[in-house]
Amino acid sequence: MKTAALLLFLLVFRSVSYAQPSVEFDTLGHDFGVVAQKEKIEHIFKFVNNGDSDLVIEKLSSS
Amino acid sequence: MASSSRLKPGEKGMINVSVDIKGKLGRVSKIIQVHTNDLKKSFITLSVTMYVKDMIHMEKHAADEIFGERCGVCHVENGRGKKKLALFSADCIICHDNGKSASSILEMGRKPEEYIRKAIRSGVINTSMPGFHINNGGPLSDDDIESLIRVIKPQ
Repeated sequence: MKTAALLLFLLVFRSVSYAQPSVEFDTLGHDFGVVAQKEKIEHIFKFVNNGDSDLVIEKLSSS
Repeated sequence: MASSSRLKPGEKGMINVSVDIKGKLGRVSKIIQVHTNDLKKSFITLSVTMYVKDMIHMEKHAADEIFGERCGVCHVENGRGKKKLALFSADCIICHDNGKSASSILEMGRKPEEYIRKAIRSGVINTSMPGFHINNGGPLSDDDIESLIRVIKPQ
């Protein structure tokens, strides 16, 4: 029983007891509206690491 | 694409999304998937969307242009002598195809008949919809317009 309680305690507090990164994007979607045909169009998504350890962007993939 | 792949606490970053729209028309979207070491948001989906118009149609709003020699080849000539669905399929469908750039036939059908009649006859302000009635420089007679109303709003 004691072991189970200790395990539960560890599971619950694991997430708060370690430093975590936290990614926050300004916006997740952008609509350009009507645009004229051209070569390409660009948009910059901004984000910030609001956590207390390093944030790593591991991979970017696109459709 | 990303400014930096490792960010310290409080540090800001950017992801620059570039969409190749050369030769594309209509609705274009791009989805970007971001994988991070943030356990709560390890997988983030970003999206950009737009409606691409070709240069010829970009700034064409005035009725006299749409019914003129250059534009009329598509917007008027195909519908000459036609009525009902044949007329709708020749002229209206160019813009009203499933809500391509204007309202779809279903959306229009929900409007009151008098509104539809006025829109076809005189056009709709602040849109690309010109007045199609002969009196407004268009190609359609009263009869033609009534036949279109029956297509949009079947009785």
